[in-house]
Amino acid sequence: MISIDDEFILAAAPNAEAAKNGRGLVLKNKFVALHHSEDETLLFGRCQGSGRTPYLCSADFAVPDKPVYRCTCPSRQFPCKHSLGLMYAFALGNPFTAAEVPEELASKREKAAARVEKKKAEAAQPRKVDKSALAKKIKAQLDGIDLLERLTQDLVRLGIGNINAKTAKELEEHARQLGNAYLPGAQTALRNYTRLFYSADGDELTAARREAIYSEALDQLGRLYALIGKGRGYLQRRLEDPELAPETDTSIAAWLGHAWQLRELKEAGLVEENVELVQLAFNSCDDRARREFVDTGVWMHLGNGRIHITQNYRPYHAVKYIKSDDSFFQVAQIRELCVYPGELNCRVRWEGMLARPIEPKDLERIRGHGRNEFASVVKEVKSHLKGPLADKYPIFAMNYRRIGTVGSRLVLEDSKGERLVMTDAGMNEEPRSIHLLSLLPKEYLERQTLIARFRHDLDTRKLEVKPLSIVTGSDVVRLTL
Amino acid sequence: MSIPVLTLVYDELRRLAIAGSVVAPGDFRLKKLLPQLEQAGAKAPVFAKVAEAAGRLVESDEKTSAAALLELTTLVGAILYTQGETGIEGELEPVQSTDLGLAKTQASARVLKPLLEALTTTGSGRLEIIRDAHQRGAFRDLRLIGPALAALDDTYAEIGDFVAKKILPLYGQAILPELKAKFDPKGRSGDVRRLVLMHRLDPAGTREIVQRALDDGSKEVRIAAIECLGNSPEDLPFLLEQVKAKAKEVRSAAFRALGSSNADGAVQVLCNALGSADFAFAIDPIRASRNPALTGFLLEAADKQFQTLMASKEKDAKKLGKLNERMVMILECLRGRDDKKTEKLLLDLFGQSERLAAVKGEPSGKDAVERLVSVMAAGSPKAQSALVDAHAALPVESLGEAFVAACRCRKPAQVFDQFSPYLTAKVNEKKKHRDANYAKREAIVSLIVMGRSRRYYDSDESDSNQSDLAAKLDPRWLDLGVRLERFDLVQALAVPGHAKANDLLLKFFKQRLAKSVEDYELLGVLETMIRVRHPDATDAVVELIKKRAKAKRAYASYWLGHLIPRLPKDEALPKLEALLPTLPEKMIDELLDYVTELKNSP
Repeated sequence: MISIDDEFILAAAPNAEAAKNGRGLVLKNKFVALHHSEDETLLFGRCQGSGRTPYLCSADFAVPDKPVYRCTCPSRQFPCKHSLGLMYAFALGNPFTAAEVPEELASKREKAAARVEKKKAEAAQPRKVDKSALAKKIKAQLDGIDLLERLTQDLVRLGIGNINAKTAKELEEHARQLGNAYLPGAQTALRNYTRLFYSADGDELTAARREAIYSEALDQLGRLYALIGKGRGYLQRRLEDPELAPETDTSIAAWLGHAWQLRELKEAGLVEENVELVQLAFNSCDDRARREFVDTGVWMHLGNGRIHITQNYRPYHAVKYIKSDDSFFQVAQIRELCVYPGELNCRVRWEGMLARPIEPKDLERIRGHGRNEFASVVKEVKSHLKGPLADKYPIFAMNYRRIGTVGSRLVLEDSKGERLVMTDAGMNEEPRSIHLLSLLPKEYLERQTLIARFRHDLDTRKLEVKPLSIVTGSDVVRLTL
Repeated sequence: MSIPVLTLVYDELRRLAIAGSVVAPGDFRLKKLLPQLEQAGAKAPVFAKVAEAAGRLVESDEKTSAAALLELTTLVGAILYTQGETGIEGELEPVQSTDLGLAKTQASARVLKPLLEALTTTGSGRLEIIRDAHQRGAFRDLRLIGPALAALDDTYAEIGDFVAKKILPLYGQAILPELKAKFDPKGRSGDVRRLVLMHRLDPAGTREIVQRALDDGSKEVRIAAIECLGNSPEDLPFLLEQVKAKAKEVRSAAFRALGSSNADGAVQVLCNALGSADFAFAIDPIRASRNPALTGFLLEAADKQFQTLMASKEKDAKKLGKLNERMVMILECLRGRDDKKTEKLLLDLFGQSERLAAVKGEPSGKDAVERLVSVMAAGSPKAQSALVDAHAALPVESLGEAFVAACRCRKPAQVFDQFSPYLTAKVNEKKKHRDANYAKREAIVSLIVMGRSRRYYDSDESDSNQSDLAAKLDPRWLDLGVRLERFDLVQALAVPGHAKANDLLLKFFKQRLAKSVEDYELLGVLETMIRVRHPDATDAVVELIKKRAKAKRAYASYWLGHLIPRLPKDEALPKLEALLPTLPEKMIDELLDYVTELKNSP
């Protein structure tokens, strides 16, 4: 039997407003029929909407951990308020009667079941690659790389100092061609450069702010150069050997804009089974270069202590229809964890998971995975950072002896007396956190574990850390979101 | 490694990249570094690579310069990334931490976000969210401190004020460094709030900042800074100068600051103000000061002013008005003093109040007497007592003050015995506006009622004297109100479990409901019923909603919705959930949020 409560509906809803509207439909007696299938795996009903005929909405629990919501309304919200309302009606105890599943719904269920079967069958068979189409695409991408090279060299010849908000935006128009050349990643990389030259409102920068972006701009140019070189090499290798799968030991495919499918990751063996993850920090920001909102979760793998990130991209134009991620305070138990190619903090994704409360022994495991010697962490970070396409803000868990101040700076010290200076500079839109340290009880500042993001400042040439959370024996204190 | 030469190369590269790579070929500054690089390259091969790349850049032409510059940039950048400096020299001091004793909160991003947005963006409806979060204790979350600090500069002044007064003081001195760092003496309202808050949290530590604000602050900040002064003898010369300032606001602020100083100079300035055009600014500080010399001077001035009034042969209403006005102001300065000398003067003046009242002008002698009575009501017990004893002879305008004085100096039962007859005195209801008994009755009722009705809406700032008074009233007042069927009194005084009051409230409700469903008075009745936990409160709300639903233009109003979350959850929730589906759609939309709020309440 299906069990649904308010919490479940809220979690399924794309936003609180949709849930509220769904509940309103029940109260307004908009449901003219409420039924369940004979085997009680499907709820369906008819809901009066603004049209003449009521919508047929349903919640299908044929696969209990992956419910499917369907509705004949034109809403792009998913699930729509009608499906949510149907579940509210169920949760509120309205009478549902057993009835035959309508033909249109039954056929959709059958098709879905058939699709699952087909998918399974397809997964078992070796995939066929349309070699000529792939070759065509790669050639287009190589042309795109040539274009990127021309644009980049023009930019270098022109000089950073001679670019203003207007030219930056003109360039972005040119960069659209990269998107057409199947290189959305390269387009983003170019925008990462151009977006430096105008403010959030699209205005010209002040002289002081211009001065502050020069080093970053030069670094971005270096990245573009590396992307051109590595990207071209990679694409040429693939052109020569169409059977070659996307590269999995570096993140070059993602840099060029390859959207990894879970299937591909599984095929490449980038899957771990029965994994437990704990979220240690969360961030939600507006990535102007990607034109997307990005929800980023920072997680620790309880088994091996690696820090992974989850990323949920919500493009501006579809933001209403994509559910935002939220901070997560339990242990996620994942049957199949897909890990993206990368170096330090690889992105991960999964399809289904169970949750259980965090226990003290989990916290102890996290603390056990914390690195005791800063020197070795710093060495690792530096050797990682020197890669031109490396993630410039790697995250580590570190056990500290104490947090103190030297002058006005907050400093982290390990048991050997090695020190790291803390900074608030970090990711875009992330709340400031170091001022919170002086508001914590004293015991939090000694012998605990810090989750921190490294950052190399190009102007001062200092490698500093931004604190994200403190893990003690009893809790995780989040300093950001 | 020869890192210094590498940083030099990087700096040159940065310069060339800013100017454009076309200027790089043959660049002599980069060329000059080549020998050093080559020399270093002999020891470390990576430098040889850098030297080669730099050489290629110098030798490049317009066409190849871009690629050469990028190549060198990548190379140098990669090496410099491995040279990031970590650590810091010096004694590691413990963090000056202030454990806020805040509950450890782990609010989810989705919960925090609306609040963060309310604090950091613009638009309507934000104060409500912030106020609500404050009431629920949501600000006891470390992560909200920063945004709350930023909200000091909110364009909507009420948010800035609310944050400064109610939220930030929760965090104590821990926020001082932040406040200091952000404080701009040349700033406007946000910086005024910052300065006042810093001074409130740490008066001694803020001295230097106050000084800086005085020296080069904007007008608003300077005024706030002046008001922070007065506690130290060093401030005096400055303040004495500021009372002569051109800007009225500055003079006024300087006087206020002087009020907290007991120094001779300050007292002298306040004494002098009595005779100057700035007297109005000095009233508050003079009233606050308990300096004996100032008190003496004040009493003398009061007596002198009274004598002048009595002796005056002036006929001109305007000139007489000026004299009366000064008398009123001097009397106002005496408010709150309970020393013997003041007491004696007030009693003497009260003894001659008929003479004083006879003085004509605008304002008149009667106004002066009214003020005298009001000051006595806030004076020593003896002065209050004299006023109470004279209640029967007092004019209507002053009866209320006598009642207030009685509440302060007599026992509740005595007050009831003395003043309840005013409520039961016979009134000619047909010509009541000409009947003094009516006016007296209403004067007493209005005092009892004041500050008690609409208690839910002014929970922030209701500290008028009257509301204190009502708390100390004899329970018989309520009985009397019930007997007289005075709804205003019952609403103000009703307490849980008073059967007769409950009956009357229900009767009022039914009467009002029969008349109209739009009657705003219904709100008062229902609020009182909820407050006294009336057994029929829920049913009354349900009945009203039902009746409104039947109206031609069915809608629930804002106030009706607001009552719902305050109803007893166990009883009201099932009833309301059953009611909702029977209502018109519009009303469901209006009420759904409130019912959900009740549902989610603890």
